[in-house]
Amino acid sequence: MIQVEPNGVAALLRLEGNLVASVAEALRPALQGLVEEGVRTLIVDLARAEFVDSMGIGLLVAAHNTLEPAGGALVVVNVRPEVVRLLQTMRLDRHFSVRPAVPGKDAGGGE
Amino acid sequence: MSPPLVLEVPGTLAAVDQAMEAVRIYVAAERPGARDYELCLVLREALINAVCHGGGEPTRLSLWVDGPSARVRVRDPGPGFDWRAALARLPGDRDEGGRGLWMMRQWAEDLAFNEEGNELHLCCRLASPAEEPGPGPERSAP
Repeated sequence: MIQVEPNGVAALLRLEGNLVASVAEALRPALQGLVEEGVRTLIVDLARAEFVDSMGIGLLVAAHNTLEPAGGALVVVNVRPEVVRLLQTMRLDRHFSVRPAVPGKDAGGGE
Repeated sequence: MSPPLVLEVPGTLAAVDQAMEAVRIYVAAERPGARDYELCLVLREALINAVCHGGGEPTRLSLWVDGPSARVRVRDPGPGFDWRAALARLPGDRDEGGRGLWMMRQWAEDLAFNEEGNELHLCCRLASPAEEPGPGPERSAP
């Protein structure tokens, strides 16, 4: 369901589908573990996420709330236009970096 | 009019994903090519709420297509909740929860609870392919 590539203080979390309640529930302890292991920059790749729901958003906010006071950052990358709009509507792009998917670039095979 | 889609959704978050798959298949058959994104956003939140308030018991979902919109009834077996207070509350930017109802209000055309708060009626517009809005950043382009 996810790939985590820890690399010292940074980790890449590549979702293989939507960031929704059922997934967020399972991811929460894994993310907590990464932070405890010293990860300070968390990159979440949403290329394959067509949907992000309120619990997925809650997970991103929790990660941001944990990383930022520790001098770290959450970066969400390859975000589809609909999800970019959702995160902007919730004003979350003011708190962590939201990088849209580049049109024409491989979106991870999720289309 | 086709018969409505009626589902008993077990009280788990995984069951919400399965119910949403069934909803998309039903809507695609009723309105081929229609944009169901907003319906999916709103209904997913409604089902999460129902599952969280339903004490593990199944939630009953009924959905039908009515002209340009999808109409939905979600009934959970729980005692309900104070939806008036919940609707009045705006989530803070750093809050980790409390966004579900706000999202439903943002993207539903119409939303109404029964007095107890354990039955929700929703109406969501299903845009035809021709009126589908473009992605946000491109929308302002001429």
